[in-house]
Amino acid sequence: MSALLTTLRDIALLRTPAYEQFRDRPDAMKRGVLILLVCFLIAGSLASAIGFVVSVRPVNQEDADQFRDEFQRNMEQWQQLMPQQDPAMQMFMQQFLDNFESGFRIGAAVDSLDTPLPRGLARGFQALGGWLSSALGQMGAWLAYAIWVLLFAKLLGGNGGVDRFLGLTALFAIPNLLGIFSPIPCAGPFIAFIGWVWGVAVYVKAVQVSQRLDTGKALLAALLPALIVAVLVMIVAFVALLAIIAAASQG
Amino acid sequence: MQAITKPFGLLWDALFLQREAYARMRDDDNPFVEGLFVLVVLGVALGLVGIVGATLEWASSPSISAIRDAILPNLQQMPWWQFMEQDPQLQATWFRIWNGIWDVVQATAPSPASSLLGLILVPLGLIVAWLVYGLLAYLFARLLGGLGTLNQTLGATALAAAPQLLNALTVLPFVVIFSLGTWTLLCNYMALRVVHGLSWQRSVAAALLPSVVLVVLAILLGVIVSIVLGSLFATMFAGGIQ
Repeated sequence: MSALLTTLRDIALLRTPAYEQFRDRPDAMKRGVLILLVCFLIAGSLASAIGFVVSVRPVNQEDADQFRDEFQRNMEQWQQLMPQQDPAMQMFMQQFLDNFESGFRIGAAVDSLDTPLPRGLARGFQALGGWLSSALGQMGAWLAYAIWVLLFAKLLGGNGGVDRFLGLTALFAIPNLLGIFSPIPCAGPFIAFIGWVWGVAVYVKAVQVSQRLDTGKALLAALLPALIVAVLVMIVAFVALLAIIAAASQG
Repeated sequence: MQAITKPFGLLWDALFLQREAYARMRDDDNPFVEGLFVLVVLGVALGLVGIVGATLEWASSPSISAIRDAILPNLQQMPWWQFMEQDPQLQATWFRIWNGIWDVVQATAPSPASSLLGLILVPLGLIVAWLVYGLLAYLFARLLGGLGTLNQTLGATALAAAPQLLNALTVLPFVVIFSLGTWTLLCNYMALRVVHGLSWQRSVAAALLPSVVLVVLAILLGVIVSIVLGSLFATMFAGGIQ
């Protein structure tokens, strides 16, 4: 156990021998995926526990009124920031608020319905399901991104096995343990962001060691899929914006 | 008992892309039968898991009819409802669509009774998908210079169902599994590489091409079905909304 913790610490500290040792394990992928799942489960545990406690309590009228008032106050503040609104816009906003109110009432009504299992147990299952699904979702996102990185790494001359690559890149989840602090107001999301950036550094190192590439090529392989997606999104957004402007000018 | 646990050992190794698992299947005396057995055992196990998960999910959720009855009175308080009440024909059409939607939700919601079907449908689905994919993968692999036989290809690609093992987690309700398709693709890549001895580029092509063909066929089928359904709805509602 202590050997595993030492390896994890050395990997988080970007020490090359720890990566090489991990890469050369015959069960690198098995171990990497399990570490990834455990890290994301720990990182999501606090948020899930808070969510469970909140969900067990039935929505009472006081909470509902407070939430609605807060939402309305935010909407009014947003409206004040908007320059001179025409009557049509004001009517739209009023309708939006009315519909929000109805939607909120529907949500509260469904939330208060009985289930065959006692409310605490049923909400416990929902929270457990959400907690596991969140970790599995992050694992899915890692896998979906990893195959593109692997493709670019191979095209850039990488020569490591798929299982070793996946096993090593899964270790990017270690610094993401800091995500456990994300529910803490103000500082929490910032700490989680630091964990994410640190995770990117671990990911690049993992690509470098698993595919035996230099740092520049590893960085390029790790970032190219994200850059390509970003460029595609920008092109689509730009085309959509042009279409909206063209439609508005015709109207 | 070992006959039942052995497939899970193979699938577990195949899940983590262990070359030896695929090689063992390739070198089996009858890979097709072995692959079929692996899929039947996996499918039945997942069907059983699905019954437990669906039952717990059903017991942890309000009934569909209760949800419907809670939503309707709130919708009827919204401003647009008053406009609709002035037109009985429009209201009747609205209720027809409303009831239709809830019928679909009711039919697809998890329930202990409907989950029993999984005992047959899950293994059947796995086997059909395996046979279709395996056959196409064999054809493409051979076209790309592969050396494996159809029997070996089917045996090894049966192990590409290994990511379905993650569905065992759905024994807990509300658990959603993501990216099974990506993982399955990786397992198929490994299976074809081991069986046919292709380069990584050709193995990627052989693993991807069957999916591309199937997606194109699904799109074509979807277009045909939507045209047929569209004309059906147009006929149904042509007399409803004047």
